[in-house]
Amino acid sequence: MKRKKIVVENKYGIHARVAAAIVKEASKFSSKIYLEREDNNLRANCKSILGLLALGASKGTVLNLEVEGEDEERAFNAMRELLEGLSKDA
Amino acid sequence: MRKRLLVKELYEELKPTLSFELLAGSAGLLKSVDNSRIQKPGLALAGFLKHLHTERVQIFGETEISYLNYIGKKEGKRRVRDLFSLGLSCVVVTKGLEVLDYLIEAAEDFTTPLIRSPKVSSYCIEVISDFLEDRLSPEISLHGVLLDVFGVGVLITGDSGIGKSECALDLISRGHRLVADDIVIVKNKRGVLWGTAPVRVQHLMEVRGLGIVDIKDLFGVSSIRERKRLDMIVRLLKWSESPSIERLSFTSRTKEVLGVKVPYVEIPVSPGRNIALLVEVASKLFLLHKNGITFNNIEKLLLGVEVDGKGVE
Repeated sequence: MKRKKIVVENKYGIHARVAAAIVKEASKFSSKIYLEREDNNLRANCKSILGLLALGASKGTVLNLEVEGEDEERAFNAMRELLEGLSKDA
Repeated sequence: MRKRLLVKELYEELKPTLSFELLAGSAGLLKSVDNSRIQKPGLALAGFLKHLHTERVQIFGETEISYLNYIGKKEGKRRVRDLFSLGLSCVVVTKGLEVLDYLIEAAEDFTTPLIRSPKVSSYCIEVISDFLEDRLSPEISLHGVLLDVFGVGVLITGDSGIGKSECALDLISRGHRLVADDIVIVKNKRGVLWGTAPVRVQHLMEVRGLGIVDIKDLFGVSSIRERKRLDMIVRLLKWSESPSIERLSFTSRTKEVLGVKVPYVEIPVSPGRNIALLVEVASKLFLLHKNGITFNNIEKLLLGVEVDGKGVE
């Protein structure tokens, strides 16, 4: 399993469009991919949009990215790239 | 994870119910309450500080205040300062009782929030305990859909794309009620599990191909529920991944959630199988079991085949 702490950097946080992009990317892999909020333990499956929206992650929220499965290496890199690469104004 | 609650949250959220007023020690509002039980200091004011739990909310009722009046100002002040110097999380004075100056002074000096309510002790204790229990009970978030099916709280789980939401939609259109889709917050309150939806996505559901839909708007107010006991877990599996399909009877398999054993069933999914109907039947079986009804005819088959109705030798 791979884990990494990620801080939401973009202005509007994980809103619907960002969540949809995460789901789209996560669904390409067979690994289980989760994002968990550090402060309240809410844990969302990145392959479905509602959980991500339920997190209510705004700018500055600390999330733990967790990836586990056969293609975890590729999935982890792709997710990290997507999350860290969110444009500041997105 | 052990949960923390700030005195500030307690104060603000119970303010409307208990008409709280903050008398002193506002600097201590960021202290935390880590125990859902409250305490009446009682004997601690007489100097016996041994079993005082500083992390609990301390309730000063008629007994405490009148005792302080009884022992006089000088002695009272000393005892109160001894007590407050332990670092109490917060103190609630009930019944709108007159607060002595040295109590306010101690609260300020030891940055302990001193809160007053006009309600009587027993009522305050009940409301505060209830609130604390709700906020401090252990919780986790589970991935799945929680529904009320014939009054049974059923959590449908399974891998992404297996058809949980579609099955849930089918159940809702049959008149069952949605609690939460995708992410369910489960709390263990005194050994009973309760599920709710995160506030942001309450009543919402994601249906692949249709996007996010609001179940309350689509199916009406009777199609949703705010919270429900978690009674049973149904896991949907691909037929190929389910080597141990139950062939005989609704067994007593369980899954542990926050230390509580929850009845657990696996249902293999394949084209043509009506999953919603199977979940309905599973709920009915659960109800029968709960009511102590066993299936005599089926159990007879499990016991052995009788010879000419004369029993097994």
